[in-house]
Parts: sequence; C-alpha cells; structure tokens
Amino acid sequence: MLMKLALIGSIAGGVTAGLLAWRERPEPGAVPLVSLMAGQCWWSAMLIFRMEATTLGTKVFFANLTWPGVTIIPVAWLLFAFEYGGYDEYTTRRHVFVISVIPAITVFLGLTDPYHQLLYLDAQLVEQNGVLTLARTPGPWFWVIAVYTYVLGFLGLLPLLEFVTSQVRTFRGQSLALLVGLLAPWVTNLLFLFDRLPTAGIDPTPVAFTVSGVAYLYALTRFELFGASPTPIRHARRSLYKQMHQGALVLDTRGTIVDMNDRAASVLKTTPEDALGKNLETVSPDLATTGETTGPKKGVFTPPGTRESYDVSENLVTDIHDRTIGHVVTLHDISDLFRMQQRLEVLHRVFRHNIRTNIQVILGQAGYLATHNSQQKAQTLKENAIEIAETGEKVREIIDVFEQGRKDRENLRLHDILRECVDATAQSYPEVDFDCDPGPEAILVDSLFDIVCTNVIENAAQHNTSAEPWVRVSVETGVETATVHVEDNGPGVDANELTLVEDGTETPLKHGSGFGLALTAWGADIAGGAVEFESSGSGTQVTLEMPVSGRK
Amino acid sequence: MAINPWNTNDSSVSNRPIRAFLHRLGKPVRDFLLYSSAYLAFIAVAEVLIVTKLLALPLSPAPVVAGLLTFAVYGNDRVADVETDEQTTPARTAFVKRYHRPLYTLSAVAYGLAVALAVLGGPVAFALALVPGAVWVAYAQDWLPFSGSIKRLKQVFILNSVLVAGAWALVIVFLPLAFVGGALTPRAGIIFLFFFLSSFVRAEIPNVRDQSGDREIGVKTLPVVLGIRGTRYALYGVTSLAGALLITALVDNFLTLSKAVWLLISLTYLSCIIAGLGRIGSDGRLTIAGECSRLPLLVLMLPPLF
Repeated sequence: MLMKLALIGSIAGGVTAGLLAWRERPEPGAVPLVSLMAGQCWWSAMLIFRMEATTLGTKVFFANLTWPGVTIIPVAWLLFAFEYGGYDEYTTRRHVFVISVIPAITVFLGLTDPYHQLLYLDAQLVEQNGVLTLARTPGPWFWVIAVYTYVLGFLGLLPLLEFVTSQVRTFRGQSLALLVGLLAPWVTNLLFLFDRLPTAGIDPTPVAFTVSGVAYLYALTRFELFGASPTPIRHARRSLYKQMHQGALVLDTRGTIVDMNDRAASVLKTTPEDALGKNLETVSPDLATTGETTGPKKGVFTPPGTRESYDVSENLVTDIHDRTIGHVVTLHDISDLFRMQQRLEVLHRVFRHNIRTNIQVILGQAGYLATHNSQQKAQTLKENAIEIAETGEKVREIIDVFEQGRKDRENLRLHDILRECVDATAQSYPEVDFDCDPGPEAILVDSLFDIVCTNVIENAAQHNTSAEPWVRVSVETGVETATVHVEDNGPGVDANELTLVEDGTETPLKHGSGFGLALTAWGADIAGGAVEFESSGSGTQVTLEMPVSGRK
Repeated sequence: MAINPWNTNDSSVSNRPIRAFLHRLGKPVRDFLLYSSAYLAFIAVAEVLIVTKLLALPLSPAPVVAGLLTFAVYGNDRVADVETDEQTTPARTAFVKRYHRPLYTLSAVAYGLAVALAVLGGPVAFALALVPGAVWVAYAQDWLPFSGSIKRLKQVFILNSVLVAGAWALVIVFLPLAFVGGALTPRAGIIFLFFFLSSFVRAEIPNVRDQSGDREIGVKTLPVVLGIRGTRYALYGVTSLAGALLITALVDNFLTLSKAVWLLISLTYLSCIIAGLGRIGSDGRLTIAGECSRLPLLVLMLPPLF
C-alpha cells in the first residue's frame, strides 16, 4: 500500500513537473525533461497495474509494457544534459536516432519477449509476505540495456559537473538539484538489482523518481531552471570574449546575466559574484534601456555618476538549430573619443566666433580708414589682426596637446617645470611679483603638465590688472599625486568662461573666451590629472592635481 | 428630480461597509471561479455524478478526476489563448494575464493529481485521463516538431467542436465506468452519444460571442461560416437529433421513462439557450448558461443520488 501511494505521488509530481517544463519550450532542455517525466510516469503507472494484476500473464504483460518508459528516461536525461550544458551539437536528429537505437530494440524485445526470452529467461509468481509478486530471471539483453542506461546516465553527469563548481549560485543550485534528481533513482535501481532492498521483488526505482520530481520542481522554482539558463555560456566562450579588451556580458533569452568578464563588471561597478544570475534590468537599468527597444541593442551608454562613455553593441548567440539562446552585449570604451569629439566641437565653435568677431572689427575699421586718416583706428585694426594671430597660436597649442595625448610621453621633474615657467613668465611680465615654491626636486610628472602649468602661470600674470600684481606658486606632494596651487590677485575669471571648459556645455560666447582655460582643463584631463578654479573679484586660485609618474 | 428629505434609506447607508466588504471578498473568488473556468470543473463533477446515476454505478473517485482534468485543461487553454481571446473576453483575458503563472501551475498540479488518481481506476481510466491532455495539446498548440506544416486543429471547421465534445463526452461517460470496471452496455453508448451531441452544441454556443475574433484569426466555426441564424438552425438540428436518440432509447427500453424525461428537460433548457442566440444582448451570459445546461438535471437527480 505504501509503495502504491509512493508511486501515485511520483506520477502526480512527474506530470506536474512535466507540464511546467512543457511551458518553458523552446528553452534548452525543456522537451527532454518533459520526455523524462513522461517516461517516469509511464513506468510508475505500469508498475501499479502490475501490482494490481492477479494472474501471471497480466503481470508479465504490464511488466513488458514498462520498457517504453524505462528506456526513454536515460535518452531524455542525456539529451537534457547536453542541451542544458550547451552541447547541443550532440542533439541533432542523427544523434537522437543513434542514441535511441538500443532503447528501441529493447522496447521491441520487451513486447515480444515470450518468443525469444532475450530480456527475461523465465517468469513466475512468488508469494512474499502474503502478496503475489512477479519473479523473473534477467536474460542477456537485460544486462545490455542496464549497462547502456548507466553509461548514458554517466555521460549526462559530465556537463552538470561543470556547473556544480560554477561561480554562479543559481547554476550550482540547479546542477545539484538535477544531480540529486538523477542519483536518487540510479542508486535505488542499483540497490534493487543487487537485491539489497526488502521490496518483495518490486523494483522501487520509480518511487525514487518522486525524489527526482521534487528535486526538478525545486530546480524549476527555487533556481529558475529555465529562467536562468547557463546554456549560452559555452557558445559565448567560443568567441574568446574573455580575451576581449571590451566589457562583455552574456545574457540568456530572458535578459539574465549568465556570464561577464571583469571589464564589464568594472564598467557596471559590480562584481561577477553579485551580478551573475540577476537580470540586467536589476544590475544596470541604464544599460538595459540603452538603444532601441526592439532588435539588437546599439547605442552609447554612460554609467551613472561618471564621465565615461561606452559604445554598446549586441550580438545574438544561436545554437546549431539557429535558435536564439542568448545575447552577447559588448561595451567598447569610447570615453576618450567621445570627450575629444566634444572638445573639438567647443574648439571649433569658439574659434569661429573669435575669428568672426575680429574680422568684423577689421572690416569696419578698414572701411573707415579708406576715407579717413586715423591713427587710433589703424591701431585697433592692428590689435585685432594680432588677436587673430594669437587665436591661431592658441588653437595650434591645443591641437598640439591633443596630438601629444595620443603619443607616449616622457616624464619631467615638476620642480624644473615650475621653476623654468616662473622664470620665463617673470621676464615677460617684470611688473608682476612672483613667489614660487616648486616643491621637492625628485617628483616626476607627465610632460603635458609643462604646457598646462605654463598656460596657467602666464594667464595669471598676463591678465592681472591689479595695481600691485602678484602670483604665488606652491606645491603639495602626496604618495601618488602632486598638487600645484597657482594664486593671483587679478580680476578673476568670468563665470561663463569657466562653464565653457565643462565638456559639451553650450554657453553664450563672449569674445576672447575659453582658449586659455580650455587648454588648461583639457591638457590636465588628457594627462590623467584634474583642475579646479576658484575665482572672485580679488583673484583666482587654480588647483592642479597631477599623478606622480615616479621619483628621480 | 424631486428629492424627498424624509426618505433617507437608512438601511442601505448602514449596510454600505458590509456590502463593500462582501464585494471585496467576493470579487476575487468570483473572478477566480469564472475566469479560471473553475466553475467548469464543478460542472464536470456534476456531470460525472449524473452519468453515475444514469448508469446505476457505485460512487468512485471518477467525479474528482473529471473535475481536476477539466480545471487543468481549461486553465491551460485560457493561458494558451490569452492573446487571441483579448477582443472577445477582455475581462477574462485581463485576469489570465495577471495570474497566468499561478494559473498554469495550478492547472499542472491539477492534471498531475488527476492522472495519478486515474491510475487507481486501472489502465482504461489512466488512458482516459491522458485523452484530454492529448486533445488539449492538439487543440491549442502547434504540433511539435512539425509546427507550421500542420494546421492547428482549432482552426478546422466542425472538427474543433467535435474534438472538444468527443473528449468531454468520453471522459464524462467512460471514466466512472472504467473506475468500477463496468461493462460497455448499449445504454452507456446511448448516454455517450447524448453527451457528445449536447456537448457539441455547448461548444458552439460561445462561438457566437467569439464570432468576430474568430473571423479575424482565421478560426472557422459555425457562426463564422453560417451566420448566427444559420447557427441557430444547425444547433436546433443537433439538439433534435439528441432528442430523437433519447426517444429511441426509451422506446427500446434502454432508458427508463424518468431518466429519459430528465435528459429531455436538460435538452429543452439547451434549446431555450439556442433560441436566445443573437436575440439576447449578453452572449457571455448565454455561454455560461449553456455550460450550466446540465445543472437542472443534477438538481432533479440529486435526492435519489445520495
């Protein structure tokens, strides 16, 4: 009675699990799992009918009818393991046919056993504990199918073992639940075959499938057996994405992150341990909504709170049946290109504005000079022409900084940079009082800071209209950074000019705005440093933070 | 409109919170019963009880199995057809969309229990329990792995309703027989034919409501092909056939007078519903009335049943 109840429970669990798996088609592994559950239920049902039967002939009939269920299980198990593990090249019709040959022969031999006795040599009714049971002596083919079943079972274990040690908790859980589901009936069957179970000659293997049913249901519900599938991993690894410099994420068809490289984790400010098994929308809503809502993802992704930009592209991962089983999303760092494009746009805008303003003044003055003789107008004309030349010179310097940004640069002593810069500027502006503390001699910094520091110190002196102008330069050094402070008592920097150096910011242009500050800000950024301006009506303080490249 | 200041209708005011509570409590239960088609499971239980009585069989787990099977099959069908049903049954579609996962899971559990219980009835009951599942797969799903090459049976004229009626009648009539190991008598055959014909009529009644939606998705039903008037005449014809079958069975002593009269009353009720097709505004209520067409029969038979 207990055995019968257990078998009924096994059928109820098996049918339920099978239908839940059926819903998940065409997810990899769904159809084989349905077949496996169907085989289990058939086996259990036939066993109940065999137990209920009272004559030898009826018991043998139902015992022989068990074979379709018994033999479909290992085939379905192997195909499930192949699909689940991403080895779907072994699930073609040809492979399924080859794997199914021995089970098909077994089913045929089972239904025709009385004529050849290859499966069982004899059959008789035996009374055990007051119950009539069927006792049969296994024939030669019985051992063929028994060994074949265990071989397929073992082969199916291999892809799962790969995921038991997976760093993704979900996949570890799935694999362990599936292994428990497999091992329970296998162990039970082995114990029965070697007569180690007191079940009065009744094979309790289908009962053990109750455990399988529970394990599979647990894998389905707790570990989202078909919701988070590791199937695409192997295909994606073929693309050697681990070696890519770009960030790469592998998503299954539901958008669950099933693998990612370290670069992608770094971009998304997460770790693979945290992100794997979660939906992309949870890990990075901004990336999930980047690009078109339909079709492959394509667009520019800016992680929140950063100035980084990534070109996002998405490729489908398909199996050999051309079914989409996942997606690979790559993140190509275009921060520099993107920032450079923004800078060139600003540069272009300011350049055109300044040149146009100067030319308008020149044309106006030239018209006046054509009919009048005015020294003042001629002087204005000359000043504007000089401004055009200076604008050209500044643009050349900025372009030079951009070019140097693309090259390998040498390191210079910060002490020497500041000392030479202050000396040269002091010669050009003798009315300005300089106070310079260039810091320790050994600090090495990127040579681009030569241009940046020169520009800052020159501007501090050149535009200082104070009655007693002064410029103070000082250095603070840390382990990894050096900070240069440049203070002056000039009129301060216009707020509009400060906003101009912020990338991509559109501001109303004023004549002469932008170039000096832009050169300072962009040069510092390209060299890996940062710059801050604090300006008031009584002066400006520029703080330049630069990475220390070494000490010499 | 004049307002009578003395008519404050105190009772309705004081009952309002209670009525609101009952409404809140009742709506989810009503929605579940109606939209998950759980009420059809109760109807299936009732019909198996009727067949048990008609064939003078002892009580068995068959009614429970039939109820579980019905709930499972219709639950799955609701989920499978959620997109195509949106136009014809928007409220039900909204419910199914909201609860599609629990509904599918409940259906799967119900089917698992039904098949497991059916095994207790022997191989025939087991096979019968598999029939609705197999028909459901054929009816609402594209065939695997030949999807696309074989037209969905649901779209085939007449065959769609024949399949539903056949599967329904097969389970309702032969499941209680299988459970008790009853013989296949001519009376069982007549009861099967009667249930098949009346189930066919019941299967076509909702198609009047679904006419425009079915036309759009290319499903051929009686209302789509014959129009509502033509459908009424066709269903009168099928009902008359069932009536003629009952009279023949009565004349040949395969049915007692009282049982034949019970079945004729149920048939008359079904004819009234057919008469209302296209004439009564709410096709949805007619559909439910059609599905409940055997309940008067149960009420008539209930006292002697227990």
